[in-house]
Order: sequence, then structure tokens, then C-alpha cells
Amino acid sequence: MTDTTPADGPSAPGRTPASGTPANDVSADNIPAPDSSTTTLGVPADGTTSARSTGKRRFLSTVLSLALLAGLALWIFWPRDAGGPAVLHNGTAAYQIKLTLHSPKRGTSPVTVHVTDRQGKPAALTTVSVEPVMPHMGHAAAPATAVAGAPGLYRADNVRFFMAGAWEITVVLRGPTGTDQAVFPVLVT
Amino acid sequence: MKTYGFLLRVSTVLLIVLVVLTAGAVTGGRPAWADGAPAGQDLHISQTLGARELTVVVRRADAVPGPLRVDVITHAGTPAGRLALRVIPTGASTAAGELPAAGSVVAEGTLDLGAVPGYHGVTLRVDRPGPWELAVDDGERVARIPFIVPARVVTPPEFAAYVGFTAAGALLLVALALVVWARRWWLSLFPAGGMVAAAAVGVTGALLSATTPLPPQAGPDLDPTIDNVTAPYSVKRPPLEDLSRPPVNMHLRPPEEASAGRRVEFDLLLTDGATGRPVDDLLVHDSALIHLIVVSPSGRLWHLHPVRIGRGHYQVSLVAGEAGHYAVTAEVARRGGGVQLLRSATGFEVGPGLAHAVPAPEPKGLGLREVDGTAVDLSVTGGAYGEATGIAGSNGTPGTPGTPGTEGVSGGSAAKGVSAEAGAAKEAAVEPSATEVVAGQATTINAKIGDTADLQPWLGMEGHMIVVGPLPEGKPVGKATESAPIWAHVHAMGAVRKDGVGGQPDETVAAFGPTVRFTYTFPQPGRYRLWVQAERNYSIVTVPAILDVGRPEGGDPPA
Ligand SMILES: [Cu+2]
Repeated sequence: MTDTTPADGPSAPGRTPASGTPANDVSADNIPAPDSSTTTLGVPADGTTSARSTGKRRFLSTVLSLALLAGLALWIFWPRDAGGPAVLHNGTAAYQIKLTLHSPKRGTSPVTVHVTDRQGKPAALTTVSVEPVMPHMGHAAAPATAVAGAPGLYRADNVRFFMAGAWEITVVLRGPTGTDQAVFPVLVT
Repeated sequence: MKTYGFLLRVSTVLLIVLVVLTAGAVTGGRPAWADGAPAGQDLHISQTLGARELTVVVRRADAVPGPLRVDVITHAGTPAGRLALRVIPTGASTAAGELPAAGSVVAEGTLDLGAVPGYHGVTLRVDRPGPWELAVDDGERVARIPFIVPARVVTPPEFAAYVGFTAAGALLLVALALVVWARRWWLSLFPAGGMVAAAAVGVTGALLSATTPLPPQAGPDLDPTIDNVTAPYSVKRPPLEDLSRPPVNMHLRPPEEASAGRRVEFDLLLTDGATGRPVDDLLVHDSALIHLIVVSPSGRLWHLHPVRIGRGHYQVSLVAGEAGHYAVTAEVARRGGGVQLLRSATGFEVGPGLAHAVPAPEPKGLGLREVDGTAVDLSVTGGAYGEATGIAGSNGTPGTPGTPGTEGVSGGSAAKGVSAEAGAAKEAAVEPSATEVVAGQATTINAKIGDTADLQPWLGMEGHMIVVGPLPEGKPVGKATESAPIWAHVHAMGAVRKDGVGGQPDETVAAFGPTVRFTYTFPQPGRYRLWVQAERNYSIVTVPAILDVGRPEGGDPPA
């Protein structure tokens, strides 16, 4: 960037033949060619000192842009939620249900079911059971009864997911008004 | 000189930009980055709700939150009355959100059905993408129709195209600004180079967006949730595996009391063949969740579309034609792919009832007949003797001599003194050979229904033909069809297009026919029952027929 007007001068006639090329050859493939050639044309026109400093700057800017690209790639590909609990919301005509699968990994995991009525008040249910199934495979795992803890909170400690894949947990709520069911698709890794 | 050079530079940069962008626009084809994926199609679904045969059309929702148009098409004989419609979101979601939880009624409306068949529409409202349920309540029962409100989805290549071209545009401005205002003109080459790179990204994205395979679709492939409908590319899903599911068991819960001439209502309970759990993932295929075929003891046929009233729980009703044993089959498609035929092992029994509920007469073979006041001509092309058998307008009586055994069946027929027989005698000019249709060879059955092209598409097609056989002699048709080796449902697609705006045309387009063609290869020789079905004047014409299929020369048909 230390170039002065003389640098501008000699390269200007140099442009004329280069710019003529893309004008005649209207093809997308040829576009980068005149660009790069004009850049390299411009460099030798400079003095040696400014050429060295240009090289340094070019190196710096390459490193900078590479770092920028790497950062972008990291930001894009960084795993978002690595192994945290899976939380899903669903509802039936009578209840709102929040299901937490504490460890969505192969093996056993606690499952918490938080049930409120439509107004948001904790629901009092007779039994709450959790029934895991792999719908594609046609595998059903042993159902678990969730035990009441705090108002509206039901927890089954050991729900077994015997393999990784797409599971579907059916929560069956038996209460004073009858039986309700809600299905929660979860991915077990 | 200086001004000249400056102008030259500007024009060069402009030219490069122009060439690149033109190349992008030309090769990119569709402006995919502008709108994202098209937001779905109309859902056509036939529903046998009590005594009503309805076609419910859930129009595609263009914006969410936004209006949702629901049209209900009634048919001839549909009782007038009022329907209450409600829409309810049903999907699980990882986010709690501000919206009312799944399971709550978001919008409702009513529809007053007149006695005249046709359209009745109501506009409801949906507030989120994802799986929904449309409840159609006739006061006695509630049909719960699952549907999906799509989200506008931008595919990764579309996103790349969008970002690439936007960046190219921005860099172009920078380059121009530098050319005009910077003292060192070549500085503009940096943004210009960047612009070329960005445009290349855009072109690549635009090129790829047309061909990139879609991820498994929420609905057809995966259990829909709000998350996988909204962001199909970013939800975690299992590594691509076989998406199909176990087969379905159908339990027909027989009606408590069924007597001939009265309405019989029964339940179908669908369970998973591997886990025994209710099957609640049926897809709409050929415009229905379940295509139920019922055959009466004398060979009357009903083609009904049971309503979903709960998880894996369907209900349907019909007015039993006569007493005896009824055969039942259902066609369903589960999420993950594949249509399957469920044949009820039990069927159901209807006891004696009203005096007018008598068996139907034995139908004719090929040829001309009158069905519900419409002239219908059945003919055959193809088969063993190619063109020679294409006797359009030919006429045959069911008891065509030639095949031993036909006499026994027609002799045992209840067809006594039917007016159609008189008409048949008049037309009996050419008798087709009894062996003109041969097993193992593709045969086209042409049904000319009426004289003008006024058939309406029914279930998205010009016509449907149910084929059951080979049937043994002397057995009531209900019993015989229940154990028949072949039970087929043949489609006549003809000119019905499904790629219009919103998908297929609905039944208000009466422009098809009059001849509908069904091509089928009868796998085994023997006597078959056929029922050709098409829609005309908002009413389903069902044409029963008997067809004898011969053994090919040189033995059995190819396996
Ligand atoms: Cu059907």
C-alpha cells in the first residue's frame, strides 16, 4: 500500500490487453484468469522494497483469512449439544407434558415426566408409565412406572434403551378423568 | 487519457461482474434462494363419516401463523347437516414456546352441509408448523385427520446460493466504490476477486439445489415433530437405515347387532405386527388413510374410508344389503413406505332383517348394461389373441357356454326376472369367446361409462377396479372372496395429473372418461369377480361383472 502514482501509471496500459480478453470470450471459466494475471502484472512493476513488504502483507493476510475460515468452519461444524438431557414438550386434550430423558445414550437412563393441567397447575395422576419402543425395528422395551415426587413430577429411574437409534416413548397417564397418552420421539446415541 | 483509463477500469470490473452473475443466473435455473422449498400440497382425504361419504381437502398453508382453508366435498345422498371442525397441534417439540401446548384447540369453525352435493368451505387458522389434527365432528363421532403444516425450509445449497449471491452483490458495490473513490484503483481487485469467489459459491449452490437429495421427510418417513418439520436439516436423526416398519394386524370388532337392511357400524383396531401397540402412523395414500372393501354374500361391494377416532382405532358403517357373511379387506400405508393389504380373517355376520334386503342379482360378463341409470360397456383388449379380442361393445352373458362350471354358478344365481337380462338379450349380437382373457398375460379392461367425458376424479384417479378370484362354485360370494387367492385393486390413471398447483385436481373437475382403462395380469385361470368404480355426478358408480380367465395354451401361466 506504499505504492505511489508511478505504480498506477505503468499498469494502466498493461490493463488494456488483459481487459480485452474477457470482453471477447464471454465464458465463466475464463473470469478468474484476467484477474490473477493483472495482479501479478502489477507486482513486478513495483520497486523491490515495496515488493518485499507486499509479500509480507500477503503472507499476513493469507494467515488471517485462513484463521477466519478455520473459525467459520469450527463455528459451523462444532457439535451443538453433546450428550445433554433430551427435553421434549407435548400435550393432550387435558394435560401439558414435559419429558426429560436424562441420558439419551444406549443403556439405562432416568426419565422424568412433568405433568400439568391446561392451566399450568400440577396434575394429580393415579399412575404414570413410560413405554419405550423402536418403531422402525418393531422392538419394544420393558415399560417403567414413574413414581410421584414433587407435585406433578413423576420419575422412572431405570428405563432401558438397549440400542442406539430412533425411539419413541409413550407416556400413559391414568387419572381421575381417564387415560391419556402422548408420544415423544427421541434419538438414543 | 487519465479519464479514459478510469472509465476502462470501471467498465472492466462491471463486465466481469455481469458475466459472472449472468452465468450464475443462467446455470442456476430456478430462483431457489428467493423462497425456499414450496410449502406442501393440498391434502385430499376421503372419509366415511357415519352415513356421509365426504372428501375433506385441507389446502396448503402458505404462511404460519396464517389461515388454513378446509373444503368438504359432499356426494349424492349425503344427508344435510352441520359439522364442527377443529384444528389441534399434536407435535412434540424441544422448545416450550409461547404458544398453547400441543393438544389444545387452536381454531374451530362450523360447516353447514346442504342437500346438494358439492363444496363447503371454512377458513381456520394454524399458528405453528408441524403435525396437526383436524377434528371433524358430526355430533355423534369425531374423525381425527392427521396432517402436517409445513415450514418454509431452505436447503443448505439454497442457503449457499443465497449467501453467495448476496455477498457477491455487496462486494460488487465495494469494488465499484474503490474504483471510483480510492486513489489506488487496483485495490478494487480484492473485493472483485472476493466477489467472483462468492458468485462461484452462489452458482454452485444454485446448481446443487436442484439435485441435492432431500433428507428423510417428516411425515412420509419420520414421525413428525415440530423440530423436524421446521428444521429438517439440523435435527439429529439416526443414520439412514431402513425406514420401513413392521406389518399391521387388523382386528375387526364385529358389530353388536347387525341385521339386513339396517346401518351396521363396526370398529377396526390396527396393531403393530411386532409390538402389539396401536398403529398410529398411517399415511394418506390414494386420498385415504384406509381403503376398506366389503363384499356381501351376493357380491355387493362397498368401498369405504373408515374414520380415525383414536390411536389405531378406526370406525366405519354401511347399510347391510342382505343377511349372511361379509368379507372385509383394507389397504393401508404405514410411515416409512409401502402399501399393504390387510385381509380380515373373520369378516362379519349380518342377521336377517328388513324384508326388502334381498341378495343382489348375479352380474353380467363383458358387454353393455345399465348401472344406476348409466349405460356402461365393458370390453377387453390384449390377452391371448391381441387385437382380435378387442370387441368394443361386444356382449356376453355370464353363463357363457364354453367353460364348464359356469352353468353351475349362474344356475345358482338369484338373478331371476331382472330387467337387465332383457336388455342383454337385445344386445346379444357378438358372443366373446370364454377364453379371450388368459392368465399370465396383461389384459386391458375398458369400461365406457356414459357417453361424455364427465367423470370426476375419485381418490385422485379416473377409476378403480377391484378384482377377486378365482372363486369356487356354489359358495356365497362373501365367503368365497374372503378366502380367494387373488384380491387386487387396479387403478385407471389416464389423464389425471397430480403435478398442478396444490397437487391433484379435486372432484369438482368433471372432465374425464367416458372410457376408463384398467390393465391387469390375471395370475391364475378361473372365474373372477370384478367391480369397476368411477365417480359421476358426485356419486360412485360401481359396475359388478364376472370374468372367466382361461388357461394359456401350453399350460400354466408363467410363475
Ligand atoms: Cu378407497
